[in-house]
Amino acid sequence: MLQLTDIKKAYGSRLILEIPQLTIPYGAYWIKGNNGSGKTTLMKILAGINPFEGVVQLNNTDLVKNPMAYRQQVSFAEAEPVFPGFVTGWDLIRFVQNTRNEKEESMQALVDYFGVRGFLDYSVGTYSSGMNKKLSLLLTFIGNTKLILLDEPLITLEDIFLPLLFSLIKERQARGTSFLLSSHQPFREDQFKPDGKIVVENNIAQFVTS
Amino acid sequence: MKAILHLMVKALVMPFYKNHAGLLFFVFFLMFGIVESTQIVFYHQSLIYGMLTSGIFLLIVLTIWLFYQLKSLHFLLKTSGEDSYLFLHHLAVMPSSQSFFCFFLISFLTFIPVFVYTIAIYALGIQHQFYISLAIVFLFQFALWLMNAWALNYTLRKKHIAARITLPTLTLPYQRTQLGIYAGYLFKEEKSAVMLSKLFSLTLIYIIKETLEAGDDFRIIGITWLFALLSHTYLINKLKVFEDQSLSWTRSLPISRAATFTTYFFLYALLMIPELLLLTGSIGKGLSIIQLLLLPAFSSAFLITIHSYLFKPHRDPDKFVTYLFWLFMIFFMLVLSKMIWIAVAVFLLISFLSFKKRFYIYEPTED
Repeated sequence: MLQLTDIKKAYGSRLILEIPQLTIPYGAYWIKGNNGSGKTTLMKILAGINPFEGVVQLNNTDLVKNPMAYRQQVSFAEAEPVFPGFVTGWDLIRFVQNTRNEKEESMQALVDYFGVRGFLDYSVGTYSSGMNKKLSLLLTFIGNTKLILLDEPLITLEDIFLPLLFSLIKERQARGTSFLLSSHQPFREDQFKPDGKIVVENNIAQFVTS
Repeated sequence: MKAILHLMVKALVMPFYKNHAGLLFFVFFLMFGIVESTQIVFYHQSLIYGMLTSGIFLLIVLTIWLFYQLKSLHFLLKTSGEDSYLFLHHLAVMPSSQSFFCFFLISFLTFIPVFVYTIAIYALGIQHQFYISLAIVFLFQFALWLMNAWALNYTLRKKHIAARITLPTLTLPYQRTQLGIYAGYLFKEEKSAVMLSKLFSLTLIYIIKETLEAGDDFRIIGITWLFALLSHTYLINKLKVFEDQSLSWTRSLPISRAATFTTYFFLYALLMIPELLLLTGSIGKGLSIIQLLLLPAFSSAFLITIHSYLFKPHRDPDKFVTYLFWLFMIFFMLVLSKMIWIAVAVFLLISFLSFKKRFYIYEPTED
């Protein structure tokens, strides 16, 4: 269970996000909001990338008080990932694999599932935005995390890959992983039916059950 | 035209000086900090006199200016090639002569530190009637400004043509670790910057090494090493920008702050290995093996302290040079007081505590 209490995020005097109280139970949810509503900011707060005021707890593990234990349970894929251009895809995969102590077989299976083996030997700087996005998603699925945050997973991905992605989400969900997917556009119901929505509007995030 | 120039100065010239503050400070110290204040005018008069009367001396000075201008060109080309600088490509719709003129001014403005010193050269040269040497100085500097202006203008207008010359690419092992990624950035993406730092620091250490004799004080090496470190400080700014732009995603990974700090420690210690190897020949001449082994830790302590400072929230980037100056002075005094061990221990501890406190509350801001 993810709990947010008295969350405030501002850039200078501009308030971006304010969440007095939000509890998100286990499940897969759609973070809905227009451009600039604060979806990515919320995601980055939950991922431990952006500093904030307040308390974030995942299964009673506090993000600020216990940063390592929290990060072991959470992974995050950015909307437009930026990686060092000189490293190869394999370098990044191995780096995350070592960090998250992922088994070799599981990692190899993921590489095959994403169908990226063909370009992993090349440096990331030569990748198209779609290849970059796939690599970013793959890195997010490495390890046994309890919460996966996917910021705008639909953008730049080829349509043919989307059923595979949502099938993997279902599989991981069955193994106890929760998901938060942000998107400004709705998901196709035959591909992904969220357990509920978190609507981010006017700097406030609210939980809405479907 | 005025508005375009204003924008170019803000976008290219100011970042140039911010990025090279450490290097310029280092050169300034070399020129003015190592001579007694009562001797400084005489010292520089002698330097300029020597330069205007000796062909070889003049050639060395011109070569150093050429290096400076090439470094400046490298920075301007790299910066203007970044995605956030795509707006500069609007200059391509101007007549070529006008964009050339803009780049000529930019080229001159980044050359100002050298030009200011050149005024003293002109004054002394005219006084002693060294007109031929002065003409060479003027024509050479003018050619350097033209060279950079031409290269920038050409690159802007011929961006669709592939580069004919590329520096060799290094394939580094262990790129799958945090240390490997940082080292890969320095040795692959910042080859020229690292080479320039090494040119300064290795030359300096070589000169001092050649003058060392048995029984000399370790403080001579300690202070030289500190100057050598100063020539690497602008690499830290580059590393920080790299962290902010390409490694922000790693903040969500379960990597402890102690592990990241250890990565910095080894990175900065490894960075100074060429200088360390150069000094191995001086063991017994003012340097013991233990003191030699202390130098990598000394390097890390000084450079990590600067790196940790860059995590300070809401930091005023204009105060970086002042910070660098005072940090240098503190280290300088500690070396003079034979307290290098204490400097290493205290500054590693301080920088770790400040890094630990700041790392997760840091958020990159636009400088």
